[in-house]
Amino acid sequence: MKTETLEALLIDRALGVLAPEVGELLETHLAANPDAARNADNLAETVRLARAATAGARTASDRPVPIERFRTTLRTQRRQALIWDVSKLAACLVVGLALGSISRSGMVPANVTGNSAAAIGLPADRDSAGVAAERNGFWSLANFARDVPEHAASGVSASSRFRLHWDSPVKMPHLEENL
Amino acid sequence: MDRANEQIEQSYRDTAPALLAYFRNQPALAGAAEDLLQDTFVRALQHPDRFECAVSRRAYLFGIARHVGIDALRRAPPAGEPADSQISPVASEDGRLESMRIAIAELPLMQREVLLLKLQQELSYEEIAEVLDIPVGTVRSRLHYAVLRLRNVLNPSHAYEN
Repeated sequence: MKTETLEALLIDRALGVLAPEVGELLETHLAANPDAARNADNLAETVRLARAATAGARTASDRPVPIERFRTTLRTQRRQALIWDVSKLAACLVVGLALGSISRSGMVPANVTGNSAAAIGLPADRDSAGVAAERNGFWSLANFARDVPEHAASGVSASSRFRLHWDSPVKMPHLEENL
Repeated sequence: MDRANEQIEQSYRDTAPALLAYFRNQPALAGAAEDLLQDTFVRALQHPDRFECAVSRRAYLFGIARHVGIDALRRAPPAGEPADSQISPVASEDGRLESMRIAIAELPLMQREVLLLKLQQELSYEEIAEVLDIPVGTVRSRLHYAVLRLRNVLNPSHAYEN
């Protein structure tokens, strides 16, 4: 056996992490080799002393840790998490309500194009600039509105005659006529 | 929620003394050990899913504690005398213990860290690897070098033989 391999096994033995079957073989080897046995004793003594040298601090900290402070921390943490969750929900509701009220009242934000306006059932200029640029194949409000130009132009709400048919989020949705 | 709280409290009861010892054994952190302990659990609670799924919660918490300690060292200026020094008069009956304490203090940081996690906290090689985010083989080699270095301090003749 190589010296390095033996030494590694002896250190594992001293640290108490050697597998039992390996330990048995090693003990047999040590019984037949006094030099190796002396080395093993040396390492075991080193680890024992190292444990003893570091044991003082460990014992000093073995006194019970007050749990009350942790419980307070836990409660605070839970409360903060709850507040954060409620805030996120409230923000979503506010945004939803704002968008809903805009579409209901007929107000069109400055950045909404004619096609977008058509999509929410408002009269819009079909020839507005930027229509072609938005026809890129991806799903968008503008591309969606492109499919129902006649209703948008006449000011009739698309949702009254058509229903949205959307099989998959990765496919473009299309409108089906309500029969 | 109650069950989750109970689990976390149980982990606190099981691990807090060891974590407190871990902080107190580092002279620069000893004074703030209890605050750092709370910080460790607050960080653990920020990702309850990771805490729940951890293979070894003890190792997971030690990993967080290590980062909390590093952050505290970066923030704070060098502290004075620690409250609970690692060098205590508990076992000074053996003169070699003093040499051993000095030898441990003089080990390279990476070797000392592994040695203390093994001897003080009784973590397995796998747990130490998780705490330090290094391979198990590296844990083993660092520990072996540390033990050999300590052995050579105690038995200088052995060092010359090698």
